[in-house]
Amino acid sequence: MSGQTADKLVYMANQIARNLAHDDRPAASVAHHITEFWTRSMTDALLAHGSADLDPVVAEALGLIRAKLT
Amino acid sequence: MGYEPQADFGTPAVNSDTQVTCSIDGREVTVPAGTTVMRAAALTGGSIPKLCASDNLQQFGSCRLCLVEIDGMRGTPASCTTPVMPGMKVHTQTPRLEKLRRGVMELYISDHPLDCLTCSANNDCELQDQAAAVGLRDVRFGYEGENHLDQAADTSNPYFDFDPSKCIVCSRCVRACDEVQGTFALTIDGRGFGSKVSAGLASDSFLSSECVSCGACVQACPTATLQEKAVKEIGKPERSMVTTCAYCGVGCTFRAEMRGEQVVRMVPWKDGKANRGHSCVKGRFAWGYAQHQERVLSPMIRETIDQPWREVSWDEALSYAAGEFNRIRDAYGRNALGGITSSRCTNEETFLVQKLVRAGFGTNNVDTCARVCHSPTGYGLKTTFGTSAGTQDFDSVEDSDVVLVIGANPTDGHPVFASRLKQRLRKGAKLIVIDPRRTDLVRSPHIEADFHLPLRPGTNVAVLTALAHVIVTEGLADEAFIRERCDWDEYRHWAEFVGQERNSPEFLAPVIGVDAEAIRGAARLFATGGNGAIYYGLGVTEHSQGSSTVMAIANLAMATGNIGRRGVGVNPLRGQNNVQGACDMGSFPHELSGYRHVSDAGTRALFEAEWGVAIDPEPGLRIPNMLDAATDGTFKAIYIQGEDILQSDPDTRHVAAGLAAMECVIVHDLFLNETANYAHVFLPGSTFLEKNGTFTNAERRIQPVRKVMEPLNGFEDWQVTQELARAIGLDWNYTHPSEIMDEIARLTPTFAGVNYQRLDEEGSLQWPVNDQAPDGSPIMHVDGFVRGRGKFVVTDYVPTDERTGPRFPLLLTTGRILSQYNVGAQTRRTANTVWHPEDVLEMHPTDAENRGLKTGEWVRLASRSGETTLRVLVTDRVAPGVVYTTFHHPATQANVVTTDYSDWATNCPEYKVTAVQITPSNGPSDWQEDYKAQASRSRRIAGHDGAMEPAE
Repeated sequence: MSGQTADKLVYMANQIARNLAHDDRPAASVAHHITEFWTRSMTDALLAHGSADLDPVVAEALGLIRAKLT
Repeated sequence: MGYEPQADFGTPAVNSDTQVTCSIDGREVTVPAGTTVMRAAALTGGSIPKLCASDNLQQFGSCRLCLVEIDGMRGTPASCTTPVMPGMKVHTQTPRLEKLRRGVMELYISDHPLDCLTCSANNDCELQDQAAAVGLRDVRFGYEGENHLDQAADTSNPYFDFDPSKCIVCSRCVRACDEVQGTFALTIDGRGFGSKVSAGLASDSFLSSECVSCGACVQACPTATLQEKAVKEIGKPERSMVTTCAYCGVGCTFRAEMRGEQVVRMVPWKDGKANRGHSCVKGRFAWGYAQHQERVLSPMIRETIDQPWREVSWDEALSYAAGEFNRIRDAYGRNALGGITSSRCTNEETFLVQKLVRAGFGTNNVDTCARVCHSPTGYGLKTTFGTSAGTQDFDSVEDSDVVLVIGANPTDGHPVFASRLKQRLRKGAKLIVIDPRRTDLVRSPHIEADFHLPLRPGTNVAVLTALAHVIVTEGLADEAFIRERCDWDEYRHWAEFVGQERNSPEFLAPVIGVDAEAIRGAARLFATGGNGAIYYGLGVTEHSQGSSTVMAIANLAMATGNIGRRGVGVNPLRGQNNVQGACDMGSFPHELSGYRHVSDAGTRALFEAEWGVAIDPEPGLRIPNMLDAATDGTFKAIYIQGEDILQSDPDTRHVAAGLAAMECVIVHDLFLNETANYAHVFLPGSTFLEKNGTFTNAERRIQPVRKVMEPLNGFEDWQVTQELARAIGLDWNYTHPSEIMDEIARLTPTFAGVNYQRLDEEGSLQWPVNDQAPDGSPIMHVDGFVRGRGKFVVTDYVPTDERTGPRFPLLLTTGRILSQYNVGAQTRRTANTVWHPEDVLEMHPTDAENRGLKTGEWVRLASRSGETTLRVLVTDRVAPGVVYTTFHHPATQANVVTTDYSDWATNCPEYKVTAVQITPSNGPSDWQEDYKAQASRSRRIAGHDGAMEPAE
């Protein structure tokens, strides 16, 4: 996964979080959206990226995804 | 069937709850009250002579040929303007009438050339037929008197001629232009004997006039006055077959009128429920690309894209492609493979491509061109209503009282629906247009929008939220509907949000760029004006908040109770002919046919049992993800059917880099398109005229596509996909697309009742067609939403990250025009180029003056993604600060400029907002020069020295 693509995934995830900010449980909504529409390899790449530049809601969502995967 | 014109009942059908019975020549007939004597006679099998009447036009009563006698009535009334009355006794054939009719016909023929035997309309001419019907034997007036026989023909239109020497001034053409098309381009100039059909001013020709070449006048003409050039060149058709147009999502049906293997003309089918007998310049006339010399008919391969193409047999091409795909799968894994289905291909063909990817490649890496147009519609309407579909049929607009058009330009993009809409508007429906440009709908003959909100590109969600604010805070919401049909708590949450002061028109007006009072007026009109219908297009979806905008539209419709009956609804105007169908067929990487997610084990089990393979439960890559993965080195091979992603997708350089990084690109298309510059295998495709199948239009209407000629390349596209599947080891044995549709019906609940026999018998079916809706579903969500209760979703306005600034101070928005279609692969290979030979940049006079630019001058259009050059058109159709262009021509490549920003939910590109700068230029950019050279090199074909495919 190139740095360019990882940056793009971070951007996409943050964009999702901004648009789901008014949901009851934004982190759960972001996690659901990523699980629903992203490939596993994209999700894995974002998980591997770490929390740098991530919206806090995305970071929380990734925690939910990680918990579900383990 | 053999050739015969469609039956013409003389005057339009009338809807009435009251039935009237009368007697016509002793035959008793019962018809709806208001039906004319002429139509009633025709319905009983009779034929009253007529010339100025046609059943798609309001009665006119000018030719005086349709006179009848009615017991108890004085004189000889015209049957076309006389409604039947209870007990009326009509006589249509009497000695008195015969004498009168012959006299009228003598006058017509005395001023008509007697060249029937050499006339191109011989034996297909109503004047000729009616002269025979009235028993004309001689013309007592002679032929020497003053006449119009020397008038010169107007041959300026590329598709039809106007020969006034044959005109009988029946006004059918003028009325067709007014009533059917709604352009009002034609008129009767002069008076009395000097009366003459005229297109625009006396100095105008048909080509220079406002005529949009829809063909309605040609269809209406009873003589050879307005006639297709093709009929003159080829001759009268000898058979016809009904099929469905391959251009936009309206889905017009046509009679393909044939002579041998040659199309003579495409005539709109009056029984077509999408188009009701109307057409546009593309469907009616622009089908010549099917025989264009640049069509590639031989399969070709090459190991690397710097080599010339090598023509090979189908076996060799398919064997090579399968070998490469198998090699790449073995080397890199199944997720290194993928495919793209086409919205221009049939349901059956798209179903097979996604089946090939899922069952053959073993991955969900399949996507479709809806990714770049209506994927947000899928997300937004499924979230709010429960399924990805427009809610209405086109007929519904006849019952609309207020029409809100946002981000759509139907007179150019969906012209036949636009004509229906304009008919309703001329009858009094109100109109709200939300669009950065002053589109034709805003102001055209006899139509003027009540509100035009010329918003800044990128502020759709803001304006829709402001409209909702007014509706909620002024107590205009339909709370009874909401309580009954929607989730009340979600509504309250949404209402609380939109009701905040920061969402008021006054607060948002500076962002939107529209006066707050106009927003308030539009909101009040939509909420209180009666049946409110919303129509939208890609100006809604192709934004970073495309999905949010769709949901905001759905919120607005639910809040005002405008769902679940005729005249209302949410209506996505689909760009391509089979966008709806391609999406229905499981072309998206996260769902199987019928919009069922791949993670659903029950759905997967159905497919696994039918296909005998395991389906991956994880979503696959979307097109932009595929390109990213390709540049990362993890995505290696793609099968692309009928889509030119290099020209149509955003950020051309990135698309090119992705394609160049792949080891095997298979392009299955009609022409060596731009994407084929990066292809290793080219599989020739077939046109819609050469295949059987079905298309599904924007109103969910499944319609037959019928093979009217043999495929020039030897195979229909579904056959090519099947052979590719067999080459990689799948045991597919379809013998006809009907078998594929049967499989679709078995696997897709909303298609359960669809089969070819029913389509042939009923003409079309609107899904869902199942036990709950055995006859299909013209209107959706009638008794309840598909998802149960309608869901209000808070859609907060999040400004796009694409911002103007000192370097790029203007906003570019893109679109398409009437005569061209998307990347232009079809329309650029027709005479439609006469109207649009190149893409131009529309710019407001103020912005042009600031840069010292005049119409026709070359400009450099630059964004942070790239730059191109094109000519400028100075016009106030665009607002200051906004520029607009089309993307029909590869020489311009407008998508070099568009960015990789996309919709948050679906990755649909943000085509509609790009920050740009415009500066004077003196010629093509370096990129354009390089691209032209590269394209020319890549189109070399071994053995075709000197006869290479020309660069486009």
